[in-house]
Amino acid sequence: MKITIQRENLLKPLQLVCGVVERKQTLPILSNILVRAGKQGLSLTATDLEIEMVTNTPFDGSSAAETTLPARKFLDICRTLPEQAQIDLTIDGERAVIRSGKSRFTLATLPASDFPNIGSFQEIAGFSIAQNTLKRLIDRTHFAMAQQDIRYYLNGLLLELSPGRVRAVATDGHRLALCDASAEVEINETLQIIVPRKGVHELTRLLEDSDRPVRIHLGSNHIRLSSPDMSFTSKLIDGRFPDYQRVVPEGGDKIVIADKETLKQALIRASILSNEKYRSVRFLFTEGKLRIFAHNPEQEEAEEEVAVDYSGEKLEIGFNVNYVVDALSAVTTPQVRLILSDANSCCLIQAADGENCKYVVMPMRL
Amino acid sequence: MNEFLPWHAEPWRMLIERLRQGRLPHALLLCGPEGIGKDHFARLLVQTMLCETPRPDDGQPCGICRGCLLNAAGSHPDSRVVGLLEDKKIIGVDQIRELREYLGLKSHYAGHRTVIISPAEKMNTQAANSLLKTLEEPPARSLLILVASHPGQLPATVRSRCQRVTFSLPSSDTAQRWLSEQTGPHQDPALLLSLAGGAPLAALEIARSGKMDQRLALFEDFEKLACGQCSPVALAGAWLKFETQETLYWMRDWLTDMIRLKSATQPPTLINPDVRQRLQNMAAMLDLKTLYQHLDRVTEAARLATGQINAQLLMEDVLIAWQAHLPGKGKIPRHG
Repeated sequence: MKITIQRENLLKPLQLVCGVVERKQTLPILSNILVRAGKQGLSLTATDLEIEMVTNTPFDGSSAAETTLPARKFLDICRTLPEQAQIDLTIDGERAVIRSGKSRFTLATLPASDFPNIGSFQEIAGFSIAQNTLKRLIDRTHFAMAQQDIRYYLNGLLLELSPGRVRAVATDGHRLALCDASAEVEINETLQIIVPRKGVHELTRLLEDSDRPVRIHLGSNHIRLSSPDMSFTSKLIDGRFPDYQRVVPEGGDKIVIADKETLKQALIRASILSNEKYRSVRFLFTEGKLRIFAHNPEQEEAEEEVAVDYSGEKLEIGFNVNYVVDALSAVTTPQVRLILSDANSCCLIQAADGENCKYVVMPMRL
Repeated sequence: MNEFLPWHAEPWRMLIERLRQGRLPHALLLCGPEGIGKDHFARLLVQTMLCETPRPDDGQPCGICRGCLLNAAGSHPDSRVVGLLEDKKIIGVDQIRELREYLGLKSHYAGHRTVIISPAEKMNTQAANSLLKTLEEPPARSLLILVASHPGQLPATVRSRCQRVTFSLPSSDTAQRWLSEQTGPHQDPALLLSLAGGAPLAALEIARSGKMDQRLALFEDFEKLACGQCSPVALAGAWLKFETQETLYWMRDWLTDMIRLKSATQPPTLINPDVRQRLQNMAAMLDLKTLYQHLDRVTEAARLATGQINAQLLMEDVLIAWQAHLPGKGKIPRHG
């Protein structure tokens, strides 16, 4: 197999796939990338067994062939070659030779058949969605995912597909984030999948801030994002997501409208003197006014007062300040609405005008 | 070796039958003496579960499909093997926690997901407890295979959550026939098997690793020591280059044989028939009680050698005691 390619054409896809290769590997083959040359072009694949990245690049070359090359070394060689250099890659048995100008490198290969790439899978559903819509969906919810929780199904983001709608839900058991977006989902009944943490972070990295559509393919075990020149696949979490609908409080009668930024800044200031472990902050709602109290084991105290639009009876409630700040940061409108019922019930945080994102924070007993 | 071993035919047939009916349990505990191929059996079972086209007659893996190729390369994403890490004597809790992450995700090729834990009895308490959660709520289409030569050392909570498959030693005919196929004509299969306690894979290991020569060299040293021709401390130092536990096991076998020679009225069956006369000579110098005392000492030392102990001091202790027992030195009076 002989491939000739311009350095710049190879470098970008190579950097993209090498991002998936983990530095510490238990299986030697996973530090390699799968290189395939064929009629469709040059395809590069890297995986860490949880996520997989494939790129396609056109090239000038002869035969169809495949092999695997050490990812890091291959990338470093291409990266350090001079700009506009022509790269010749020749695979000869167990060795691969890279030539460019007066440089020559011989790399060790491993057989392509040893490479555990996912390849094609049976698609059970799919949809097209604008890239920025999907990105926003993830950005507004992903912070609520659990981290290394024993309930492994919480260590990911739930994507719920129903006709015409995609919903993202994340929870760690203390707070929950939910966001809806409309999309052309060709599906008859609701489908739930859980994308693991790592896959979620890769997705946000890949999605651009444009309204160009992107195609999402779902298999029973995988989610794949594909465009003509690359495809990203993540395994799914094997588990059932808890019934989140029951967590979202309904019928809260105490409605507070506040200026988001003012409230957030007040909370951030108050949090400086809250207990470092529990992060507890006391909220006291009275007519038109919210007072925030925090204190720590050293008996230091913080007190803040924020003007809010509230006309109910007095309510005192405690929260983990980080959870409230996270939720407020995800709200995009200047005004935010907090819906409460009593000191032992969840608080629902929403944008003052929109209904498509909901944040639920559990109260703390003070 | 891509086939099941001849003496595994029965458990193989049973498990393949259950696999085909979809009635395989979530966890198997393979137990039986060491060196009879339990690990091989576990790997073959995993390979056939991940094979795309297993052979229709006996359910063995085809060896040519993608699953089999990946398995052969050791890179199948739906198979995990947890064993002792280099320089470690136990399986730690981190190794088991990683499994939870692996089993939390769906399978790579939409088939089964498998885990082999071998030797399972080397899990420490934390690791075993951490495994319980997985054993209690295994994800669908997953199989955990625990391989243990000493299942009694596993916590009862783990044992009770696995289905046990017990392997026994093959008949000596079967074992000898298989062994001579593997080793070729230059080895004595009967002797190898006898040294390995009847376990064919252990016997093969002895034949292939050149331990036969090592054993004879050790025996010669042992004889020299018995005749007072070398010092026990020097010998203990020289023997450090061999695996302590194994050396102690050889010694245990020689002592056992000497006891047999001394107590039997008819020529007894020996573990080391090739050095019968030399053992007889040595045994003649000692009495039965001393031999038994020393056997106890060596057995205890072999047990200690599994833990954290200074190998040189342990060996010195054993050898000094052995020499002290010998009449040639005259340090202690002969018993009885």
